Amino acid sequence: MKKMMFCIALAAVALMATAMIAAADDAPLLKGTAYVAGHGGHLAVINLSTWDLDRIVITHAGSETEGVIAGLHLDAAHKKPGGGTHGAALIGRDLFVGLLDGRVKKYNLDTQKLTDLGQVGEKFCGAIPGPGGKDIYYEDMANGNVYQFNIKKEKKADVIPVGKSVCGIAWTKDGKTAFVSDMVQGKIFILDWKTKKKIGAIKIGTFIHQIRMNPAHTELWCTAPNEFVVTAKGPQPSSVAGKGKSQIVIIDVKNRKIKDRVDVTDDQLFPHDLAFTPDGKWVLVSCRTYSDDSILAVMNAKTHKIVKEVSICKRCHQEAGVKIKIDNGSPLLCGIAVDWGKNPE
Amino acid sequence: MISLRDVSKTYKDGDQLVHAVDGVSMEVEAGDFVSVVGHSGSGKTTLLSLMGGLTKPQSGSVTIGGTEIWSLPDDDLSAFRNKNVNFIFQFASLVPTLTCLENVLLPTAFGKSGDGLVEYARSLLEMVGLKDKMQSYPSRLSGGQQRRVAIARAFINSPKVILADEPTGDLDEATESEIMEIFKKKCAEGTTFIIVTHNSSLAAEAKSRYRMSAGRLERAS
Amino acid sequence: MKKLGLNHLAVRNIRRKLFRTVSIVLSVAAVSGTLFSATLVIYSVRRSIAVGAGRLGADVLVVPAQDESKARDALISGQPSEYYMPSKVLDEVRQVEGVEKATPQVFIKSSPLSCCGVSNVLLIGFDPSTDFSVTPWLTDFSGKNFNNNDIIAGDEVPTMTGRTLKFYGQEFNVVGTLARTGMRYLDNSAFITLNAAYKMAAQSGTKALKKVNVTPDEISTVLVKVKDGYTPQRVAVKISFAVDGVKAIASSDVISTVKDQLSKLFAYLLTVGGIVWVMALLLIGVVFSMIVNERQREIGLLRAMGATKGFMFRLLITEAAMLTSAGGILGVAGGGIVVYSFKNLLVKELSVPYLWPSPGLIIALLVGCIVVSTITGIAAALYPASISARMEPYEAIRKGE
Repeated sequence: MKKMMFCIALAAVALMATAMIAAADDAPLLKGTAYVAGHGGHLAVINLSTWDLDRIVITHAGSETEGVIAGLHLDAAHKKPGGGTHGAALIGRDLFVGLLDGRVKKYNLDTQKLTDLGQVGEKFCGAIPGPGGKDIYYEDMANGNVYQFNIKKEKKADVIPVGKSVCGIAWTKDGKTAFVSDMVQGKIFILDWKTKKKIGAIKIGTFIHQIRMNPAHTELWCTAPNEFVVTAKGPQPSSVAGKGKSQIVIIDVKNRKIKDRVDVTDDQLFPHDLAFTPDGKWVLVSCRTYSDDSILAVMNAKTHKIVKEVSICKRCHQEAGVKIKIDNGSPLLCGIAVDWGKNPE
Repeated sequence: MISLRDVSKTYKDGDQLVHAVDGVSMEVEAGDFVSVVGHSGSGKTTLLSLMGGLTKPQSGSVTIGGTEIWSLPDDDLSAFRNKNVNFIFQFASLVPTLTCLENVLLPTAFGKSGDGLVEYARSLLEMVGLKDKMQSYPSRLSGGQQRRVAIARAFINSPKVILADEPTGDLDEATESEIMEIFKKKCAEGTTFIIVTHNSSLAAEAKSRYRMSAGRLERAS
Repeated sequence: MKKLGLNHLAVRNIRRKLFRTVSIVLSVAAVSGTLFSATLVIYSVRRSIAVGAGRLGADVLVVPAQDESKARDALISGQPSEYYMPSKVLDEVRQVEGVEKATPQVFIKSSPLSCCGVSNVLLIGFDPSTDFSVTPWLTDFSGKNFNNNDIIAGDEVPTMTGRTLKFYGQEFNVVGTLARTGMRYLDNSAFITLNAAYKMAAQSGTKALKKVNVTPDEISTVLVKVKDGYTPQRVAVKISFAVDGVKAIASSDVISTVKDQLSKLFAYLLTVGGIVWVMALLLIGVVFSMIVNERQREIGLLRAMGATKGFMFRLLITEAAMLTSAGGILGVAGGGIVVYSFKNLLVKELSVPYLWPSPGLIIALLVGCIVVSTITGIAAALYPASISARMEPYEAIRKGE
């Protein structure tokens, strides 16, 4: 009997464990709204509970290769960026959107009012709320500067030269150290935040994009889609986008070393930005496919497995009959901002 | 003085191979006056060019004054020509942008220099009867006058050998005989003359006479 | 009579076909003229800006936000203009991170109604106790302290040291004049102390026909020197952010504005110059190939008379070099005359300051353009010259017949 009881208990434990593992790789039930900026000049709005899709138009379309990247013209036909959004920071009910032409626009989610806050930089990649909550930091991929933008005054407060073509910024928990990703140099620069001086760098080695700190401030995640080949002349689009390894690189914040490289090449995904759930268990990954869609993927922060992929461009474009004329017909998105706990009305 | 040993020169004329000079051998003594007669296209002018170092034979050797000229590097051959050989061409061979006096002095641009050269050039022009044409340009001269300037020029660098191709072609009889007298005088002074001509009376005045036919050379009686 | 030589033959050959010679010379002149005049203008404007910016001595200029474009225009085109902001801005600017020194200035346009003074001059009042912009020149000029009755005049102000100048009824002793900068903002200005400026304004109501409306709690600009380790651009952003109602302009940004204005013109001129250069290169190449073809018999003749291959090569190269250097000289002369004659129009149309480069640089430019022209000729004639040199004498004579 005892033996039988033991076997039943063992089976129950095994069943529970299996169930737990299975549950861990199931899509979580999330609550919130994600806003993902795209080259089309609008933000994709995703209800994280229903995965329904909407959009907010900010500006007209523009390609990433238009204008300047790291001081170089890649697209000879388009010397100036046309438009397009690349990142948005959500402060209260205001989205502060950084554009590919270096302007900042504010969109109020309640009033739906769009305000042009003027020329701040040259060509923005990331739009990241700063540690004190007073500023947004826009990273410029044309000149490698980080622009401090004061939310209250709605004007530029500082300009910090960092690299050649920067995209993302993140801070340690104490706010004393900042990390800035330089796409073309394939490095994450480490800055003493008080003096704004570079004190080191973490080499990733390929073309990288955005960086995000996990809520525990123990891991720094860096998207490394690798869709450009970094040459002496600067970034050159590879003949087949993402021909190399497409990865999410995880850095240990304490010892500032790479601890993992999560390869998503086989998933045909080219991750550009990340958003951790407040509990740090899940990561929303905005990914390009360089096909006819871009994807929002949900990744388990522990197992690094993708548990869900949602179309966030094609679904809408198909319905509206939109035909993309830039970026070789591929809808390209980038920066993600999430309003956790509030679904769109 | 001049020695040709089994010299041959062929040209391609379309698909045809023309033997302009075919196994020619000859010996010319210093101070000799040699005439070569023959029909047009018989190879006379080519023979002169081979002797003067203007075109390289396919085979054989050309020796002037003990120097195998075709063994010299090109610059040395040019210097050799400038010092030892001069030409009187069949055509009016003056540089149109230079005066008669300058044309006579032209060979000195590539070698010989000295204070008396201009005076010597004047005396040469006087010798050929063009004392009053020293500053004239070739376009102002008749064909015969141009030929006389070319003859005067042939002596400016006091060459050991003068190779002349129809030298009196454009001249009237009187001038022709004057020129021949000059040639004879210079020949007597030691200059070797090899003259190619159609003119049988001119050829008859030579000490050694040759006939050229289909690239082959033979002594004329 | 001189010995016949390569140069003599080359000159005679050049004279042979006058039309052809003139065509080559003119086409090269067009290239060198464009190159020379465009570079001269660019250098002149850059020098003027550099001299002006150096004279300004400030890394950053702080002006009222609403008058930013007026201030930029005043700096670049030098039109006297007045704008004011509260003098407390100075203290606020001094508090901003990265600011090492800050000094105020006040601008007053001279009265157009003046009967016995000088009109259309910008009077700049500065504070000798904090100044780092004007004072360094004063010691150069007078060697003594600058007092409230003294004035220093820019190059375009019609006066000289030892004379007096009268503005708004106030008489000033001219203690020095400034060397020309090309920036009218400085050349067309006269410098007095801040106190003298306020006093003059206060007394203008009774002493002059026109009253100056500026009070001691107003200033026009704050000149800033930045600390080591800070870029002027960064400090300018910080000042614009920290101090309400002002705009801070990095001096180097003013220079880049002018550079931007010029770059389009320069690019246009260079494109035209480049097209003409390629055409000239082709023209010279084709012409010299024709020349070699035409002169085959002569080439054979000269070779028969002892000319070496090297001589034949050098002869053609010398001809090309002579033609193109003549074109180069004609071009720089023409370009220089055009720039000199139309300088004022250029300055007006482009709204840029202008200061002739140093004689050394002008000479270097002249030589450079002529050298480029000559090299163009040599490059174009290289191939035809090598063909000419390679010809076998007898073949050349035969083909030329």
